[in-house]
Amino acid sequence: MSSIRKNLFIWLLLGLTLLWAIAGAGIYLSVKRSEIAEIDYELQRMAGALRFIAGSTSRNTGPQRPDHLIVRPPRENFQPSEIRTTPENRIAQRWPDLLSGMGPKYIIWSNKDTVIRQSEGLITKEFKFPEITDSNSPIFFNISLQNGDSMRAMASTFRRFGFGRPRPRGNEGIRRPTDESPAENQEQNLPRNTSLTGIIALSSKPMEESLNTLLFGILAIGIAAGFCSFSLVHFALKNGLKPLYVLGNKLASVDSSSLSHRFSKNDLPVELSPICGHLNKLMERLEDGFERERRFSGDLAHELRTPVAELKMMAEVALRWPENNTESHANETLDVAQQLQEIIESLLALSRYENGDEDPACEKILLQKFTEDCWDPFVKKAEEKNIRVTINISNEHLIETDPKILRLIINNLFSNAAEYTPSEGIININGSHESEGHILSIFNSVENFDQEMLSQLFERLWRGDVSRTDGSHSGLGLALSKACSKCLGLNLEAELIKNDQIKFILSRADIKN
Amino acid sequence: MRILLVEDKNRLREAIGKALRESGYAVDSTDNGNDGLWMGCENTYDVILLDIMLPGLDGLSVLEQLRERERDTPVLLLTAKDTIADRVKGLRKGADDYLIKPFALEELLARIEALCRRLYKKSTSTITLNDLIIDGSAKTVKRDGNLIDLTAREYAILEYLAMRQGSVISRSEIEEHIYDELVSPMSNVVDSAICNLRKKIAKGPDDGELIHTRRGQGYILMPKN
Repeated sequence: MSSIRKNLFIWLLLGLTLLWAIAGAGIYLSVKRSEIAEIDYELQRMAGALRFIAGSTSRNTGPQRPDHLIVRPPRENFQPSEIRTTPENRIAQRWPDLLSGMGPKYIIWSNKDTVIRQSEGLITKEFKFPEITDSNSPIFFNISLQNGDSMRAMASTFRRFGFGRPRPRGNEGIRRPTDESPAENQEQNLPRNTSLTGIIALSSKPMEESLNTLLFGILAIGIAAGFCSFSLVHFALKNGLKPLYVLGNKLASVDSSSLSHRFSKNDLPVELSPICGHLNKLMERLEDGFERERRFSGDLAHELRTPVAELKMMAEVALRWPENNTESHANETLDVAQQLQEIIESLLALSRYENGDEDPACEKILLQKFTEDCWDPFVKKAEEKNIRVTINISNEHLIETDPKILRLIINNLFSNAAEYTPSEGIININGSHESEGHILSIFNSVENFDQEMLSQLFERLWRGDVSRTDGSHSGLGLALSKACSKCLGLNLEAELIKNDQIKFILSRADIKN
Repeated sequence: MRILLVEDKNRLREAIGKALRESGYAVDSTDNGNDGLWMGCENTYDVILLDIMLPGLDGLSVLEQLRERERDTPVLLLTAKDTIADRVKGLRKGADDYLIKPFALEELLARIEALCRRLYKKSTSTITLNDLIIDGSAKTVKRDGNLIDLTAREYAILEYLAMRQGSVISRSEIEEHIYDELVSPMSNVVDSAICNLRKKIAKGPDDGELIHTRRGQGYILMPKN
């Protein structure tokens, strides 16, 4: 069985975990990007050094920097303006880290096959000649070195600017190779403005270390946040669903004796108010249903107990004082038995029609003749009460239905009309075409009848006469008519008009009036 | 004993009425609550048998109004309403007993006897006066061990006198309690019945009377000497 709490718990927890993961990844990536941008900026800043390096006479400048800066003796009356600006000096001044052995690595090609400068200890194979399509846009990439380190590199093209062939300066300055290779000689002969390609790379180890620290931090915070989220979601769901449990417990305590109970919306959150409203309506319907069944049980008990009491009493008197037995006594006993039989047969018929156990056998019938035939048994009673009866049905009006069931419906309605229409009252019977919705409507005058009685009119065993004195009726007629109408696909309704007329309307169930 | 029967079902009312009359009770009956209330207030009854669902005024309202008018006649509710709530409601409105339809005639008679005994403060159904034994259950009278053949009316008079032995009972009281509303107040049915009763319960011509006449007052049942 699915559980709202379990589902919410899983989804909320998953959602929060996802949010935490996205937030962590976002932080990590943005920091990483920022770190890379910083390195890239640094690489760009150092890119200018490549031109100087390319323009310098020394092939390896890095390790020599401390020596030539430190060993150079100060000259007397030295003036800064007199310092000769060599590429080495410029490099040392502007990019002091470049000349350090631990600093950036670089490599400069004059063409794909000719390396003219490279950092000391650099393995040329690790730096591949880059294919640069746009000479104005440097490209950045990562390089993994053979020793496992990784570097961030920038490749760019630039024009060589040279200082001509450097003058010999003894031990000063940049150390020159003593046995220059042909390539080196060739390099020395490179003209100015030659297009060169260079890569400068910085170790990304510090960045990776700081990113790893950040990652561990994010993971630690993520785990802690996960536990917090678990507790928070658990607590929130427990508290959030509490009104639902309270409502459920209240509902569980409802039984047949407490159907008058109504749930208060005041104690419930807004989201449960509609449910509460529907529950209250359901309780109302249940209460009505139980009340109706209770009335039915009470009425049935009365309808059955009274004739049984009559039979029993008459039989006991007859047995105890047999000398007083007469033929009328036997007839009365028979009448009571007949009354009981009618009640039981009506109840069984009602059950059959309500359960749809009867299959209608439809045929075409002339409504006017059929109705007049049905009215015949009640003519005498209507005349005795001086009731004005009018039957207004077209003599060509044909309907297709089960005549046996329709007769049962109309007989009950006519019996009801003849019985309860007061003296000098009226009964109007009108027929309409099926296309108009109504098939038959019966108006009759009534006395002492109100809306509350109208609402109970079709209840089983309901009788307007609360004392149920008249044994010739049991109060099942209208309920039976209603059930029969339903069986024929018809609808039987009653309306109270001006409190002194009641109108029964028999109409097709599929046409709403 | 005089009983008022208020029941709207004709056949049942007639059958009960017949059974009660055959058992020696004077019975007045009606089929609606309004008449029942009027009769209960106007006449003196030993027991009222009252249906609840009645036309006009329902049985519980009749009972309520009887009690409001300080008529403490024992009321036995005879009804098809069988729920505990209905019984409790009926008893709390002032009914003395409650019998659900359908019921056995024997049970109805026994309950009426019990109500009568309670009314006259008798704990058993047998009344003994010297050698005269009146058995209220069997509706028999024995004198000195011999069964005396009495009509229902004679038995009712004797039982009524025995219930109130030692008290002078006026003729009109006997009429009210033993005879129903059809008996004319000017008739001498009471005197005639007492005369017959004396003869039947006497052991012989010289036997002293158990039923004594108090001139201008009425009759009294009391032991000899």
